[in-house]
Amino acid sequence: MTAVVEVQGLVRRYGALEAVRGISFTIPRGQVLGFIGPNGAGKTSTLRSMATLDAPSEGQITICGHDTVQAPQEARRRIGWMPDAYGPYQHMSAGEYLDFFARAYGFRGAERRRRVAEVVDFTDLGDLLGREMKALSKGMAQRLCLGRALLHDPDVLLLDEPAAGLDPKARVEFKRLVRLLAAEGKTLFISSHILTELEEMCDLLLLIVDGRIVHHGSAAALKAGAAERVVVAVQVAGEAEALRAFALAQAGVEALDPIPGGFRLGFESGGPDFLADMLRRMVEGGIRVVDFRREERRLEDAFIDVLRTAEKQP
Amino acid sequence: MKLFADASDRLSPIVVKELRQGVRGNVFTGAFLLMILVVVAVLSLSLLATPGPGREGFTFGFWFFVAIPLLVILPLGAAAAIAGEVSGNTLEPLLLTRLTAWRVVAGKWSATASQVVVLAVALLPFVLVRYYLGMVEVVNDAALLAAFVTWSLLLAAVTVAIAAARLSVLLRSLLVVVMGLALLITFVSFLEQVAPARRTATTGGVASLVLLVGLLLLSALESGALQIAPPALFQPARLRLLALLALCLAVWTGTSPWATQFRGQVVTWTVVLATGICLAALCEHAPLLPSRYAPFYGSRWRFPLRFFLAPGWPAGVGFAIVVALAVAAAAFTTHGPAGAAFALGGILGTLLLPVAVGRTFFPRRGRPFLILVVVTFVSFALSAVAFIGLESGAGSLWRAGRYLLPLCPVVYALARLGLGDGIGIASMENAAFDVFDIGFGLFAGLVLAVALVQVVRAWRGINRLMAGRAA
Repeated sequence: MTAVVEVQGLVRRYGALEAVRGISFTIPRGQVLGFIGPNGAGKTSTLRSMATLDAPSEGQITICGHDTVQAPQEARRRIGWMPDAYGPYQHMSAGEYLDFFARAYGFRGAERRRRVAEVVDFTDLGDLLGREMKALSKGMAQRLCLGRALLHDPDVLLLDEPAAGLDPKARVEFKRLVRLLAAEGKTLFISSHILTELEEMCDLLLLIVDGRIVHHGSAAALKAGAAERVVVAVQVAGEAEALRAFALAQAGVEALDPIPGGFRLGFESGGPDFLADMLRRMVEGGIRVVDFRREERRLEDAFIDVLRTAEKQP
Repeated sequence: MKLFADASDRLSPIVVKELRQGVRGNVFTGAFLLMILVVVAVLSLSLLATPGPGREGFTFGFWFFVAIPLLVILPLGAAAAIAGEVSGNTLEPLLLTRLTAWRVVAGKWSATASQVVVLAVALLPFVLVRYYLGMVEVVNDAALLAAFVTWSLLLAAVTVAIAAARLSVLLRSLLVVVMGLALLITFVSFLEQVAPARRTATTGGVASLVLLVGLLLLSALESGALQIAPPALFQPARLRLLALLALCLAVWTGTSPWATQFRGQVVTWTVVLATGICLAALCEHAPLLPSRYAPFYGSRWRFPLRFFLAPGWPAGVGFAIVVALAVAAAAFTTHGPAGAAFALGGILGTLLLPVAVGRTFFPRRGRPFLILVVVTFVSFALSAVAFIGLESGAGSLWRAGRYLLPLCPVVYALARLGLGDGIGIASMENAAFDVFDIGFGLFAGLVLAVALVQVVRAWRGINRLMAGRAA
């Protein structure tokens, strides 16, 4: 598949601080790539450099073959940008907002009206066109922003935290739009903290920690990749705190988070002997186990494991 | 009908947006209605007053209430429009459209300009009423209204530029107040010379003033555009060319017998403009982005331009040298070779001192403007001590302060040249060449040499970058 986005050796420094440390990746046409990382990992610097709003200290970014530094205007024509902070204009309706941006993208007369009508249709904004921007809900505003980013029919969409603050219905709707766009051949680069959302929306995940890429691949590969550690949901009859105390006392066991009547426990090994031994010790310790179920590894757990591994590395 | 529906396509998208919002907002509508009401009230009251000095007060009242929306409310509205884009996170999506930073800033200003024009047109009937009431000459009033409109447009451009700057709200507010007051003082001084009887205005004087306003306006808008431009598109060449044009205007106004009127104001403002642009150039970062230098490579005739028009402080130093040479040439015509030498040393020594100190001792500090302010302040403070000591003729300790005077070369140069109006130290003006001049020359030369060493290093890096790109 043709790579629509190519990032080679991207470095971004702010004085003595190196926020992004020589990352490289490519995104093929029609793919949705989720960009994950803790705060300060270099996500925003990368995203802004890709959007031509910031300039790399070193390295090269090309969007559809156009270098973002050498030919920023050409690159911009192929980029749709949706920032995390939505800034509504005062005294302006949603319809006027789209009309204004269509003008700003250089559309005139009938062509402008046609483009606005197309994105209104795609994002289902028809009922909201006359509404003041300030009166839009978060979900409506996100759809409006997405519509604005699509006005010039870009090849690449850069979305920064697009699902943050959306209610469940709006999230489902947003995911549907993302998959529709990918099916139309758009390439999407989505930065987000909501891992479950990314897992469902994205074809590929890119994990960045301390300015370095620690994973580039599918969510399944990420979940499968992290060593031996397994997660087991344990439910008990009686006091669940006894389970936490048990986990604290055992080497290689960790209480991850509570569930009704028990805890999710992380075990350093997934071997049958090890798990059987742990279950026996629980019962012998007076814990009345009613359910001991090995879970499929969650993306959050894999993410935390990757972060831990990265922290251990010099 | 279709033609009418698409008529707005001929306007800038920013103008269309701002006018739509402006009409629905309270600022313009409120200012408009309030001005009309107050002007009607002032004219009504003036009818009751007996002819004579009492009516003069109503004339003042009329123009005072015209001045508030034109010179205060609308320019501040323009500033709020651009500041709102920055603080509301709406600027970046805008800059990713086909609108350039210049078009965004110019659009904001044009929207305010159109509101200013609407207000001025709404005032015309009242000007005619004043004429029929026998209060004024209609041409005089119309000229005055034109002056108000012109200054309002200039103030709007300046406030837009300041609002776009990446400074704290407090600092931006302070700058708006300072620049606004300074421009208003110039305006009042202009009115004092022109308003009582328009015949006192000379063609040359008005022409130089119009050129000054045009240069200030364009420079302000260009500066505003540079403040919001993304790094990959930052290109200050036009702004620096405007500074050079301003210096040409200063030289013309300063030497032409045709343009003696408003000479002081025009020379002062053009020098302030050129100096401001020069300081901004010296504070620019020079990230190694080939696209920013590309326009200055690959063509032989562009080769020399890169050293003073390219982005970044290394070319900023070249630009400062060009500015200093231009001023030295002007000083040569008025003060001879010695005047040119003092002007050159004074300007270069003062402008490049922060560069020499900053780039040598704090090369990785990200705040060159702060370094410039601190170094310049210390330099001025030391020379001010010497200046006061020498002027007061106090004891030998104070006189020894003369050794400190060259530390701020421009102060030393002014003291030596004696530019009149109390600028300069009587004992130093026209004095024979002495040991202190050698100290001044050595200090200014040392500053220039250190700055040039840093510049050569920086250009080597840029040339390597461009050579790598070409390869």
